[in-house]
Amino acid sequence: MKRPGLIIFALLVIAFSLITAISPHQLAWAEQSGRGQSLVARFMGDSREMFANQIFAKGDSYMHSGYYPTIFDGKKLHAPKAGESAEDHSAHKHDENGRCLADEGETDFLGKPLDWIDSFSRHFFITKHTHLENGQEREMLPWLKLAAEMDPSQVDIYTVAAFWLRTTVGKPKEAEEFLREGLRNNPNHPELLLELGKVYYENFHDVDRARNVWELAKMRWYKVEGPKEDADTLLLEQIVARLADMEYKAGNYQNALVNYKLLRQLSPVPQVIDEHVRKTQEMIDAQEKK
Amino acid sequence: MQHSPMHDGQRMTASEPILKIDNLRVEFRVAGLKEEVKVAVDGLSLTVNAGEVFGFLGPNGAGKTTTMNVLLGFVPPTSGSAYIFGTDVSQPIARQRIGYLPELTYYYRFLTPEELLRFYGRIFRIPKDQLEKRIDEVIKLVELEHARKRQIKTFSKGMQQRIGLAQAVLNNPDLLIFDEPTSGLDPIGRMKVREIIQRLKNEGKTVFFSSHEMGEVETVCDRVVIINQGKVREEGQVTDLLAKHQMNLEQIFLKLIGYQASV
Amino acid sequence: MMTNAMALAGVVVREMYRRKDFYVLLILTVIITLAMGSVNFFNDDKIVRYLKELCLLLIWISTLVMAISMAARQLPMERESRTIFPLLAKPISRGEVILGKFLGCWFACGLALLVFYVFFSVLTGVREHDLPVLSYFQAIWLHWMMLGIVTAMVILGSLIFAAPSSNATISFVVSAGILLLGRHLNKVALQMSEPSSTILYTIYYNIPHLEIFDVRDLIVHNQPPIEWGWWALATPYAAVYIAIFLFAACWIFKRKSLSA
Repeated sequence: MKRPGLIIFALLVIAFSLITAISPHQLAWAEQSGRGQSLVARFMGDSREMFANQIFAKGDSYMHSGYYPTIFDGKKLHAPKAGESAEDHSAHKHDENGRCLADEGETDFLGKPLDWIDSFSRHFFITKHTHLENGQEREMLPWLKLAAEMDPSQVDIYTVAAFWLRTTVGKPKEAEEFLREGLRNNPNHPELLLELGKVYYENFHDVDRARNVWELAKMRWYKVEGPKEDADTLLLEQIVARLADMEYKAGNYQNALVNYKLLRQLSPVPQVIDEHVRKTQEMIDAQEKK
Repeated sequence: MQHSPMHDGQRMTASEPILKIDNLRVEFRVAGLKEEVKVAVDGLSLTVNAGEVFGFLGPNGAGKTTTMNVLLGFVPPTSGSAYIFGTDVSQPIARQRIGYLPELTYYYRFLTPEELLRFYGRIFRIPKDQLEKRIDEVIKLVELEHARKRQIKTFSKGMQQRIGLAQAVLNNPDLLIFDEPTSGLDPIGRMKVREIIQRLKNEGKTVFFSSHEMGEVETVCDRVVIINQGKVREEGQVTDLLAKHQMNLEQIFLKLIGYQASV
Repeated sequence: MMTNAMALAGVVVREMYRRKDFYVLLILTVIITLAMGSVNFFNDDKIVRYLKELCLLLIWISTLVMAISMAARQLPMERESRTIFPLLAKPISRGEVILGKFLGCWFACGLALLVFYVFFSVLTGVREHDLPVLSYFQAIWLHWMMLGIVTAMVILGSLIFAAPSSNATISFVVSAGILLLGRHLNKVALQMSEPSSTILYTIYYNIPHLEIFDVRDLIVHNQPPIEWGWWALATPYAAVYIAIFLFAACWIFKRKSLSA
């Protein structure tokens, strides 16, 4: 072998020796600094949360068929917020006449045109507020999936996606899978358990599994949220309401009564719940008479 | 209405020169800490008559290329004037009947010689049927038939220069301006270029060319001008100059530019 | 005038389809789009809008890169390879050279756009079983007009900036900046104090609003075509800016001393 070849060979040997020496330290450092997890986490670091929010907002803009405010528009149309439930997102509905209910009070984030350029340019982008419907909601799902990949700790992404999957898109199996993925990333999160219970109860009509999941959700709420000063009581209210209604419909009036009574304490309109408590008590009395 | 070059040509009388430079001065601003003005051409006057092969000689930096740049409209003169076929050189139409071969140029790499000549032919407004015939002729003239459909990027330096010659003669010009046509070529390439110039001369074309090759100039030129530092040092028939100075052209050139041999 | 310009434009178009740049960008766009199209989102093969959005984004980036890089190298390459000298030694004016270079780049971009949009139409046709020809025609036309403005701007830049790379980088940043922020400069100016507000308003009223020509959202969200009157008005709007940039380029080029 000639001299240049020998030099290259020697350099390769040195490089190989160095990498074998450095590699274990590098791995240990990566694990220590929490960077040994996913490829996305490694590449993007903390910025992935920001990207996830943006992608989630992209999904939301799809819901509004591209009619969506930018950071330069003063008013917000309906940017997704942390802690917002799937029902809140599904609130973009139409009335029986097909009129967009969400249009009311939130139509014109654009305002009046400021100048002729503004006025002219409005003919070239979406200035009408419409919503996806009749299963078209599926179009926002890739963005939600991508947002979840970016930041798996954002629970809302899973619940919103699962809501559409199990309702208009008609894919409860996929909704269950996605929620389970969320639970793997956020073990026993009460919001995810609440949504998973809905899949079991409303789509699979599996009362036992729904009960198990919602009971676990309730338990986890007391463990995780309960001690907090600003505990999310709305979430507990939803879990308990679901449980109570399910038990009532299943004929388990004792369980239903326990939950309705708890719900009465949580609800901002206890008089409405009183009616449920009275009805459930009547059913229990009737059962005892029999 | 478009200005007809033929009309201009016809307007000229037989005695009028094809190329006329009158008291030409070209100054350049040299950028630096202190802006300086460099005089590239200083009061240059010359005429070239029809059918002449005119050698434009001078050492590097003498102002040869600058003068050619003025003739071709690349550089505006600071003062003085230049005319080709009686038309001011600042008018694009003055270039309708000239052929120009610059010092080594790399023609459009993605074109074939045929496509390149077709493109230039369109600029000269040569009718389509005539153009195809003319392309065949000039490709044959520069001996590039074997490569006429090959992209120019595959060409050697000599082939590039030959395609340059082909584009220069495409419009069958009455005046050819060659800037160092043989520079960078091997002896065979030089010989071929020289043959082409000779052939053009035999066809009665006027050739105005700059060169450092004194042997070449002595062989093909009828008349020469030797310039140095932007000024004319000597002008005349080659035979007259040789007789007057009793030395060869190279020795005359070195003497006029003030070169002192150190050995 | 047009004969010379068209002859020169033909050379530029030939260069486009003989260079590898266009094919690389096209293949990259196709591969990325197909790869993203093959991703399984919740076992639902009817999802298509994200794919349309991605494909259109790639088309926009590719054509912008192509237009800028092609226009930025035209005049500097003529100087570098010295072809400008035999060219200008022919009966062609400098204005015709600028016009020819612009038309060549613009036509080449138009051809590339057609190929890109054919792919896009096939993709959406297969996935959506629908082909809104009028909307697509409007989108291609507006896209082409936008590229016309960018091409003219870059040609002017190639006479101002010394290196093609700096011209390309600056042009890309300016174009992307206008596309992203152009529409909102007036709102930002409103919230600023003087003299920043006036400066920003001056910029807002003078820049070519490239974002007007970006109707990707309308295509992605299956919106009806733009009113034809407004759509047609976008063409003279583009033509005015193209003319401004080309006149400025001619003015500078005519005054430029070229030393062989």
